[in-house]
Amino acid sequence: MTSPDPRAERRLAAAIAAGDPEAARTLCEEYLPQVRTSLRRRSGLDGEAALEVAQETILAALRSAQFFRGESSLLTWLCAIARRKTADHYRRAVRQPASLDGLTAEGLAIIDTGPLPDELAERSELAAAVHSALWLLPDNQREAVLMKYLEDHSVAEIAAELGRSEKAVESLLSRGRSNLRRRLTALAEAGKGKGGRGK
Amino acid sequence: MTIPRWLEANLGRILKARARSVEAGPGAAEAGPGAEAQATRAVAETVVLCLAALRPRNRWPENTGLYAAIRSRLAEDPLRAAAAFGDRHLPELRADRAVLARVVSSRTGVGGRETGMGATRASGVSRGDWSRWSSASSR
Repeated sequence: MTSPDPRAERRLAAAIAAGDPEAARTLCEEYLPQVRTSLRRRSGLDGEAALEVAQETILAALRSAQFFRGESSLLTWLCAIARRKTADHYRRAVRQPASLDGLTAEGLAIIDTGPLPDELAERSELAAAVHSALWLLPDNQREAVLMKYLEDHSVAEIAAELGRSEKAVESLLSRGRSNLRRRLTALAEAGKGKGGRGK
Repeated sequence: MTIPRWLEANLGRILKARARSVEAGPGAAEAGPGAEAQATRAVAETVVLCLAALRPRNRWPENTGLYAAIRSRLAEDPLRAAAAFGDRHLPELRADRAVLARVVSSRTGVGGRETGMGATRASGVSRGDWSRWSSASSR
């Protein structure tokens, strides 16, 4: 993969900010698929939702192109917008809570018994509950947790990426796990009370 | 097993399983890269369409009308997109109606000055949608 040309990216952003439709087209055609791929990998959003968030990301970028300074690559800048849009998506979802019966009945059962079968790890209710809890964490905690558990980065690598000390990253991970536990426990308790099918 | 230990042991597996299933799931495997490229082009076309329509006034898309337009355009329904877009932006676009019609025509090959009810029905725009746009435009 070739590294992006910072000057070309700044020119593209400037052209978009100046109202050039062809520059807007270029942003859509070149970056929408990349943003969508990144969302699929990290956000837990499926096809339709990932496309919607990717579109919202591109539109937000079109509106704020004048603020792109080229301090990072255009894709990095877009991914930062995508993370905010994803968190917004999950916050909206919390206001319209999905049924947690699946988490209650099966999630609580495996909490008691230990190992998680692959097919259960892929259950959408469980993944949705975990992602929902995860994306409601503060940004820095969520990023640290995703890098550690989804992307298998070491604490040292995460520290370098986030520009923090290893000790600070360990603290972020600890707080992230703690908040995640609290949120998942609350979800499971709420589901248990509601469904009555859990243990 | 307690919840903290369960979480520690399984969080990575859940996140990775979800990523795998999303990447291989509907909208990815079924649609394939060709369909994705087509959807991307549709978004790009819509953005260009809307920007071109706004260009005379040098305005930027900044409201839900554009979102509605893009969603409609994704359903391969350009006139509906234009109608949704026009509904939202009409106060500004009244004088630019001809421009918008020309842009719709050049980008989609449908309508132009002839974007009347026949073309509208063919493209799936409801009579109400289109007449709202047309009557407001001619006010």
